[in-house]
Amino acid sequence: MLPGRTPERARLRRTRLALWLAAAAAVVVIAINEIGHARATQTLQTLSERFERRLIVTRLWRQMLEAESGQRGFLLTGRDSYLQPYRAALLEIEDSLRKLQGLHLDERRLAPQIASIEETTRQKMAELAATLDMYLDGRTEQWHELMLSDIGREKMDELRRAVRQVIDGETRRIEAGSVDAFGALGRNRLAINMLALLALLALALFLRNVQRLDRAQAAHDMALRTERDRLEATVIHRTAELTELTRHLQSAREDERSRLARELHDELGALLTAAKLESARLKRNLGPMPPEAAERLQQLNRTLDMGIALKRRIIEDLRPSSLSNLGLVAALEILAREFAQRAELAVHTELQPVALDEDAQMTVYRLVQESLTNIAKYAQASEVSVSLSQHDGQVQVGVRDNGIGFDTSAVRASAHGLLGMRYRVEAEGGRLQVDSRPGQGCHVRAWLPQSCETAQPATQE
Amino acid sequence: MAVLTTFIVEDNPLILDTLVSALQELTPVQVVGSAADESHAVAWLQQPGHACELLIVDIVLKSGSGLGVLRRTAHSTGPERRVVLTNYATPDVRAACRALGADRVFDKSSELDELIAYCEDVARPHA
Repeated sequence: MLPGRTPERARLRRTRLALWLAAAAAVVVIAINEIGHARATQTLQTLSERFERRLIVTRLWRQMLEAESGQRGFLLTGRDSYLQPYRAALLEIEDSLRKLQGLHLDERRLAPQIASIEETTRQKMAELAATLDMYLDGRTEQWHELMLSDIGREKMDELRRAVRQVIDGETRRIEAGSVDAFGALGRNRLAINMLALLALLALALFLRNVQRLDRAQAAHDMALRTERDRLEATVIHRTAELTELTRHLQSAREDERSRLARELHDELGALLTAAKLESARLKRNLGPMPPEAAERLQQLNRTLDMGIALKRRIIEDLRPSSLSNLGLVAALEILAREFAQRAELAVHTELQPVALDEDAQMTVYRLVQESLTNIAKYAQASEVSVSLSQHDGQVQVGVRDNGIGFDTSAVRASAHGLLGMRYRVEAEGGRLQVDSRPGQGCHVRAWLPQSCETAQPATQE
Repeated sequence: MAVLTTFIVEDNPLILDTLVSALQELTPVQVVGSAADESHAVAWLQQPGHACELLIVDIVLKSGSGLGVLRRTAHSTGPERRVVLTNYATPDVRAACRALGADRVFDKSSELDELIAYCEDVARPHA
């Protein structure tokens, strides 16, 4: 009935495979994510450099214009206020050139253009400085000539071209880099989405598995329950059979005892009584007789009496005549009184008339008899009480002693005739309960269903 | 010696025979009838024309009981004297018999001499 080895092993294999797959999926997703992240980081860094470069180059162009415009203003007006922006622009140009050099080192492709910008800038700056020096020295013709030579304009055109080239190139590359970064982001998104879907799928599979396990468990439970119910039914059936057998055996035993008792009473009793009567007649008829003959006759009478006493004891033991003649209450009272005399202890009785058929009466009688026998044998009691009562269609009989008691769970059920008592009571449709603890005495109780007849023994009217 | 008409309830033929012959031989008892069970005994006793002065009953009968005979004839104009002859002459049985109107209870085994003496005694005033 238990689930076989093979499905279990298959399940284990499936579990292991699922674990490997989950690990592989995680590794792939982590790899994609990490690579994407690294690339995006790098791309963004490059992009920011390109922005920076574009900014610096643009600024350089503007500073160059400011420097030129300041120098021209001074040349035209001769006011020092134009020299101040010129000099500031020169300083800023130097700063921009330094920054540009710091940036372009890792970008080989741009090196010639950057170099060209730098060179042109320096030439232009030299031209501006030369023109200014000539002006300050008062060499008017010379600086006019230099201005008219168009060298300054050519240098500015050259620089504009170089700056434009760098800005356009960088703008192009920034756009390409953005596309690249967005591509990496998209791949990451795809990988994460796929992982989420995989997780969802795994969860669904897991839930399905759990459900299947639940179903298998339920089927297993069902099988167990069915098996248990079947066993219970078997036990009930067997118990009923056993009870029936006990009842049959008990009744056969009682019948046999009754038959024996009746035979002894009828046949042997009649013979003995007849012998006694004959002996009485003999004595009367013979009248006075010799002492030896009288002695012999007396001895014969004594022997007959012994036979009668023996017969009576055997019969009483086989079948309590008090039960059939006087009813259960009187029979139990006699039993208790005789037991009290024999065992030399106090027996209290509290007996009420009850409605029981003959078999059940015999069961009660035997139960009390058996309990008293046990008390005499084992209990070392000083007081015993016997009770018989009837409530709500149930007859309760109880025998309680104040003896040494015993552990009901430790004593074998067959010991002290308890098992026999129990079966006998159950065969009458009743139940038996034995309460005892070491040092606490013992209380044997039985409940029997009352019979339909009225509760009145024959002789108690 | 006047006769003492007697009815005996006893289910054992051997005892009945021996008892009848012993009592008739040794005492003025004259057995006018006998029965082996309760219903026959009661039927005989309640029949008009049937009368006796002494009733001797055994308790254990083939059917019914000697006690039943005593109970069912207690209030009728039955025999003047009723005695029980039984194998179960315990104090309780004696008390039960007395309660049912028995004059005496004799043990079937050990008190036969007393029964014979009682019969003689009862018959004497009739002499």
